[in-house]
Amino acid sequence: MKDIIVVKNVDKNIYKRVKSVVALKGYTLGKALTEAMKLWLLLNEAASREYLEYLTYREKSERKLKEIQREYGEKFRNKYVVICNGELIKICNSEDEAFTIAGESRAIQCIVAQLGKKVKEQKIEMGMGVLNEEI
Amino acid sequence: MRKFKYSKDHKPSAPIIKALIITARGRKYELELLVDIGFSGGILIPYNLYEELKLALFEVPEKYYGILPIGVPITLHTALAKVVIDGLEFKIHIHSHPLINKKLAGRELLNKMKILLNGPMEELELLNK
Repeated sequence: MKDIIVVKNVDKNIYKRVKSVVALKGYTLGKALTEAMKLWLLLNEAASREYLEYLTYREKSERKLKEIQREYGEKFRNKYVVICNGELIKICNSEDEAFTIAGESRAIQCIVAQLGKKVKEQKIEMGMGVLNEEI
Repeated sequence: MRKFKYSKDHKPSAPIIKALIITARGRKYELELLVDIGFSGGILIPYNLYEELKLALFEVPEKYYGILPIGVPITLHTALAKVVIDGLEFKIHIHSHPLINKKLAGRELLNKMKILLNGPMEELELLNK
């Protein structure tokens, strides 16, 4: 006998359903539970406080960028703007300067964007390479 | 001419490439990327690495949607960084998502290089120099 783990308070109905699916798929219960635990860890990582904070700042920065494009897009066309945590930090003459300013920031999230340039949605093909790994 | 041995962690073995990511903050990180011509982006890295390199400070304004092979779109986090491969330097989009744990080199990066996939020798050869 090796690697036996005893777990209390498992919902018996869920356990029975998992056991049936495991049998149907020809899995082992251990493998199924390991996959379920990995997925749980990933989901929790995705929903961590820091991650949600980051998403909030990203949204604020996007809103600020729209505002700045409306106000200064034409006036400072082709210059670069640095927006961190939803606040305008600086309008720079070059992209390199803008990235340096963003890098020096203690913010959680920054956007570096060119003024006067339309922001377009981009689609990326992910391919099978993202899927063929055990989660 | 630089050669990279295929990864034996995949069956059959798979082409990989070593890249050095350099952020505008001066952080450097070397990693092995699986060559994936089905991925149209630049580089895909796990989210914990995206966080570690503080790439959220160098994000692009565009929203990038990754379309999974099953047709489902996911919002990617995308930043710009310098990438060095065997002395060749590129400014490349680095993508990430908390639920994807892969390190991939996509076509945005691969199309900048002359690459020979030498299958019988299980080697990827860079022909740029």
